[in-house]
Amino acid sequence: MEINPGEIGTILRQQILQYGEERQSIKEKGEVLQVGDGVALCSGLENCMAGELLSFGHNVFGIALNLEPDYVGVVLLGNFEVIKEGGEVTRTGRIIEVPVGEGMLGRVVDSLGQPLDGKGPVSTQNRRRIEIIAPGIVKRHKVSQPLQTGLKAIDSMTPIGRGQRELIIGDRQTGKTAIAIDTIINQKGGDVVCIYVAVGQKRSSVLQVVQTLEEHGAMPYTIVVSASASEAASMQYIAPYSGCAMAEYFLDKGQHALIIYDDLSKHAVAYREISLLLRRPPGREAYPGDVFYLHSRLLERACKLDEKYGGGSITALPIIETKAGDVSAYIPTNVISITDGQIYLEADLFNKNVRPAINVGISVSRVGGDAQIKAMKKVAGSLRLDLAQYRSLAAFAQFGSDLDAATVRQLTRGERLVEILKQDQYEPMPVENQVMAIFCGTGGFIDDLPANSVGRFQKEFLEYMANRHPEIPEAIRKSKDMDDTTKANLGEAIKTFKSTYRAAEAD
Amino acid sequence: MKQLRLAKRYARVLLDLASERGAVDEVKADIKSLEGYIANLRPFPAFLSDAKISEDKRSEAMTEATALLRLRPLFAHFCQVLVVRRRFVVFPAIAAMFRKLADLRDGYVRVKVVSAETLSDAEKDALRAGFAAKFNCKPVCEFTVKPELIGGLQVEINNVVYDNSISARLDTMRRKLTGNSQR
Repeated sequence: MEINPGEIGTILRQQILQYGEERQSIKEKGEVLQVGDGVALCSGLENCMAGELLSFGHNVFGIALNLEPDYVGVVLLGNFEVIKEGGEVTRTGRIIEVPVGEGMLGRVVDSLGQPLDGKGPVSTQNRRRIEIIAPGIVKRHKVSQPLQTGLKAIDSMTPIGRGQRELIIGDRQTGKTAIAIDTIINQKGGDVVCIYVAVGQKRSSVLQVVQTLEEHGAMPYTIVVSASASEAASMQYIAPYSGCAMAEYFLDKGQHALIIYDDLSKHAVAYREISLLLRRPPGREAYPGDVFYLHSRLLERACKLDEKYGGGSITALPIIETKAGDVSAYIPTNVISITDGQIYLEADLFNKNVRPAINVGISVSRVGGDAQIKAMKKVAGSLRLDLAQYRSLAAFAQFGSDLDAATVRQLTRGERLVEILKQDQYEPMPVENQVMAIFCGTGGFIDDLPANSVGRFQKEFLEYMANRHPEIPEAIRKSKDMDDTTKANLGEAIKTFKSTYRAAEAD
Repeated sequence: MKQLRLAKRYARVLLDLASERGAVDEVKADIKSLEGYIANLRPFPAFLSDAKISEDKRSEAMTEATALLRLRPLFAHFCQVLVVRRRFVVFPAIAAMFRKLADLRDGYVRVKVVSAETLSDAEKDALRAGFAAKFNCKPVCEFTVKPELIGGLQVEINNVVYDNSISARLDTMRRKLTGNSQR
């Protein structure tokens, strides 16, 4: 407990001036009628507001979710074993708040903003309500700035803009979290603050994420909010809102934030648990009727603000886990309809060693196109079409019948493109390198190389460019465009490198 | 929660009937004596609601209790209805709800006053008069002493606690100084 001597004077002054007014504190109280499974029903509390924070004493709080004529249904936060029937509950008149600010960066906290990393108390004075109404239409600006994920397959074909909500969807073990982590790592040295919200995850997985981020030097600009599987459903329920409140602090300062909700299917499950315990009527898949609003009000808070309001942004990457690739289940369809596009990961591709296992055919980005840099637009324009043709032809080619030259050419190109888009984990790539690598593929420069050699070619080529022709990536980075001269120079450089690469291969 | 709604429904009907006959106080007295009886015979309400026991037997037990306690006809009939409908388990909640509704109807308000020291009779009367004027009601006060308050009073009326005790003020000051508004 630290007391700042300078503040005492101010407080004393206030106390003297307001002496008469603050002599009496008024609180409204009620009684716990029933408690169990993390919910409590309380009588009294006649003026209680929906979503209000209620105090049960012993440092236990609850959120009022159901307001009935005779009682209030409360979901409990924290250690609720100490609450007894007949116990006292008082209104606080407030909505739940979490600490926010720069002091949170580099920390691992729980849903209430309490530190979990053993690095002492969080050093911040600011607090924010976890639930606010999302910015209105007037305050917003259209998505126009890119948010580079560092992944070729995403930045080229499903580009994400700042303020966008892009869903990452796929079965278990298909690399959903890996995409999110790579995106965080790629923001190193940039102006984007990252928030990773783990909902219902194993503690070991959260630890792994934190360690990975630390190893790659990504923690100094990242906040991890963790409500692991062992925590009460109520803590899992509020975790995304807490994380969003932390992001909004940076938004209001005109900064850019990236928030990852990992994952919202477990969040919906936690909310279902609370709703069923509160005896709200179950609907499809036993989810309550307002499960759509649960996610829509959260994801609506992702936005790009107009310059007049600071020009900050919150980009949201919600993650949804599907069961056996079923995207038509209730929660996946809901979240797909709320977000501005989805990145679809497939177990089949993952097993074929196509990693990241993105199905580029059905992955879309509805607003990110405007945010893509011109250079990328130029080189990747034909990428999606080429890959789509390759996929349809590949299905036929499996029958092994005679193929005409054009088909063979398309198949060769497709195979090379798939190879080009493969990328190792934790190795996000700067956008200029992505442009050059994709240019090799779409420009047809590597059609004569064996497919299994493309990965090595790409790596060595980028090293070669960095050493011998640093002016070309530099030009792309600066102008964000690729004019004809750069294009010609790049083409020449590729040809020169190829001759040496061939020679090296022959050795 | 179902019990709460049931209790409210039954208590309201009983109160209506009692007030029509001008027998609210009598019913209150009957309730009290039946509560005393149940306190000594804990399984009684459960027995009277048990579906496995025939209605006649249950009704008979109730009649016996009625005779023993000399319950007046209105309340005795009410109890028999509870037995027939197998709702006697709710009786304690009905009793509490009846008193609450009767108080509300007559303008009585229960006030809990906690003080650091024992209050004198004059002080108590002054408080009663104050409550009556402020809340426009007939206050029924319950005085308790809690030295932890250090000084001042804590008054609970209609689920609202007005706290101007020294301990509460110290607490507010502590929260302000440490800047911890949440806890």
